Amino acid sequence: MTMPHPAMMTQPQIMTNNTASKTKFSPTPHSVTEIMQRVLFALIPGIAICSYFFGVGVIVNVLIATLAALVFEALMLRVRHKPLLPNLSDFSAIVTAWLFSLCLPPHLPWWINIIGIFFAIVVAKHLYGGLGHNLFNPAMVAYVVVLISFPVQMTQWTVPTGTAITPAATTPAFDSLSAATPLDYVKTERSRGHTLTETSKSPLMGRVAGYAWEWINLFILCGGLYLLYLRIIDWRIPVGLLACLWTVGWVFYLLDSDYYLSPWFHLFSGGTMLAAFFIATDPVTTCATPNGRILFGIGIGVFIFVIRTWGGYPDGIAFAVLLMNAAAPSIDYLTQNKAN
Amino acid sequence: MSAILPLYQFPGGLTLAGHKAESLRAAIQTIDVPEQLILPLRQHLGQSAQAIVRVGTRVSQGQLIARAQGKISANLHAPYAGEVLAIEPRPVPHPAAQTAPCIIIATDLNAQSLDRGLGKTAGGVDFRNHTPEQLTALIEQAGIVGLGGATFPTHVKLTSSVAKQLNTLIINAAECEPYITCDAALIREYADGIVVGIQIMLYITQAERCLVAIEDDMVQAILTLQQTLARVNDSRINLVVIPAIYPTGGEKQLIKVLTNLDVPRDGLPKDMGMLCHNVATAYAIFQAVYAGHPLTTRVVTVTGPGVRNPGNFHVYLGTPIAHLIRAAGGYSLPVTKLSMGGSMMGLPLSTDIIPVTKACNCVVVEDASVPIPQATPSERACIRCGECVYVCPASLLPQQLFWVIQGRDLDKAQEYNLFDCIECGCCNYVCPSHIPLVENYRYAKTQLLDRAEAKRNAERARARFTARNLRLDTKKRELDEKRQKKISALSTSPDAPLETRVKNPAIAEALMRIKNKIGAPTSTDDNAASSNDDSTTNHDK
Repeated sequence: MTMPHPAMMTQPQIMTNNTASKTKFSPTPHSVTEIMQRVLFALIPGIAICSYFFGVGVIVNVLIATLAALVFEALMLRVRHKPLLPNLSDFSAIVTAWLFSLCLPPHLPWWINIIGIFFAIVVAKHLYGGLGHNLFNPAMVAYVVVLISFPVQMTQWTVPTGTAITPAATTPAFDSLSAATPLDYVKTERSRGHTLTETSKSPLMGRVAGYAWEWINLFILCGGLYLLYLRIIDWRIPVGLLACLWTVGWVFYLLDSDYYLSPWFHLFSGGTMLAAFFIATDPVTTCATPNGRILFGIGIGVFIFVIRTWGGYPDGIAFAVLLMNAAAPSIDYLTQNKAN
Repeated sequence: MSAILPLYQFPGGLTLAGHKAESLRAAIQTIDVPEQLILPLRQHLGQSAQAIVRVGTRVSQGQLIARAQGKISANLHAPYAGEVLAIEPRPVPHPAAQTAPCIIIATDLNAQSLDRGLGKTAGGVDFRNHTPEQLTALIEQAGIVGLGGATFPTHVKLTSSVAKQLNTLIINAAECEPYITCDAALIREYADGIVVGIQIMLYITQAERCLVAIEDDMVQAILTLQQTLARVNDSRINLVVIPAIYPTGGEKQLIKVLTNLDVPRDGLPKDMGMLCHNVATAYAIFQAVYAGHPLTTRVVTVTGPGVRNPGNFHVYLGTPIAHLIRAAGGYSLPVTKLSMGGSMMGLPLSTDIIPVTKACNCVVVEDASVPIPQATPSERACIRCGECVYVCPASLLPQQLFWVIQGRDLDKAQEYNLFDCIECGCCNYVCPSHIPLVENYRYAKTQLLDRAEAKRNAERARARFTARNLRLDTKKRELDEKRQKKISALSTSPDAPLETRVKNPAIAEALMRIKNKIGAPTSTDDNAASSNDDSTTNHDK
């Protein structure tokens, strides 16, 4: 084989599909601690706006819950002969504490808070096997336990700051005014036979979904979008949940807009956004398969609507989440992709 | 004659920072031969080679020192002249630093190395003067194995494909793993030889076309190959530039990208008319055919923040890694990790006396200055986030596999297609809990293979046991039959005296004599023979 003449250059045979070279790199992987820290960071706007509307009691609840969570976590790690570090420093107990305390009324007695945290950390988390092994969302278990055990204290919310309510001149000096949450108010009024048009006249009902609560949900939504952007949570769950809740709410709203709440009300009231972005997306208790996650979100959406409209509680987030937590393993089994 | 080849995507994968520039700054360097060369007898897939030299034998460069055994095996040659110092177990590249039988050669530093510069230009005898079978035999004799890391004996791959109708030969120049640049460096300097090697493979396999797949970040290699292919003007060979996504260099992933075909679980690419070879293997074939050089050297990348002068080197097989790192300027302290291979699939090494083998394409030395995602040693609980599922290029469920392996349910692991795992390390990389998933799968795979082996042995033992019993029974039966036959053939009545039943007259006579003797009245005299009543003697009992 002789050396070819250098001038004999022909068109080089290169095949390509003309796509530009991908220079966007895969994101650096997160560690568990980093994930938890980002979740806490995303919750800060929600906590801030909540304490604006409901006072410093919110912050106090958060602090008590955090402290109790750390103490119980350390205790359980000791009892289970596991090292305190790095298990204590992975922030997972603090996330549970913050999610739980965000659901609590601002003047809740501190010991109810601690009982709740006990059930969250000791029972729902460690007695089920610890991080990664629990079946039910610890914060929701705690909430349901204290809600059922202490119904009076758990439903005693206050009038949010800025509500157009002025006490009569004859009322004696007060520490605070109690009021129902918008969802609670709607439920009671509905059972008394009032239509939504009448109910909406109350200053408790805001522009879209209940005064104060629409702001809180909005800020939590922003935090949730931040987590989505960082790819810390899977988009399938919030999209499934919110789309389903909106659609079901819309269908019924079309049927009777005076009886059923508007879909936007559902989306921005109560704990919807918190559930959609922070509670249902807890990776340990949600489904593992991609399709399963969509079904999981849809299931929670359905239950939220059903419990709010026909159930005994004004807001059904916790129950909806727990019911779907129980169903998650079966959904995983049915949606898995074993065959290749 | 450029055409547009549509490219496809395999599922999952990661786009990683390459860390390739440091080792590509300079050309491939040669290093001096070390004092000792440690050559494991098994540097390939399949059966170990068998040593044909003894301790004390003087060997010349390129001499055959171990012969392939069995259908899937490869020869081993002496990379340098010297004397066989020992044949004994030495540490070899293995996750647990296990030992394996090696031939240790004390090199004769005064011997001249045979000119290896022949490789740069394509000269010599035209390969078309040989038949494909002769060329394959040459490749077999040269001990060539896949140099992409899998080390499958090349001649086996080529002969098994000739029987099938091959339409596409794929040359894998997609060096997708970070840090490894040996193929890029080889292409940059030896493109001529590589193209001839490709032509040899096309000649042997009679494939219709060849696709040389190269990643889009290997800029200089692409340019060089373009120029060489333009010069050679072989219309069968096409250069395809593919996106740099890890692990696109995996055989199944590459075939998916180029042809959108999925290699079936128990199938091989040759069943679909395709054959995949690494670009360095093509060059080794060229060297074997044109210069008669057996496989005794390879290009190795030495890189990472822990070496002073990263680069690529022509390394004699058997060179201890310590020698190699010294050639690269030595360690820059403090060093945290030494691995053979890239940053994703590399084998962590516990010592640097381990030799370079046919499978060693890269040595990465990491130091504390670079935070590695997997540097934190603490493995946490699985939080079921599902990131591993999203990046798996084999469409597996790494999370599920992990849970069932932890539960020691190996049958279920097999159900979840454990053996489809290519151990690329994408799942390890993304796991937030730093769980060593690939190590779990390797453990489960070896457990399952052990179990299958034990089952095979048990089956074999059982078959042999059954056969033995059958044989003994048959033998016993035959003996009984024979005896029965004999008994019945001897007489009609069992009460007849013995001497009438015996066929042999001499025996009958002797029996008569005995009878007569014993029948005599009490006398010690042996000669006293008198006829007696037969009725008093009954010796026939």
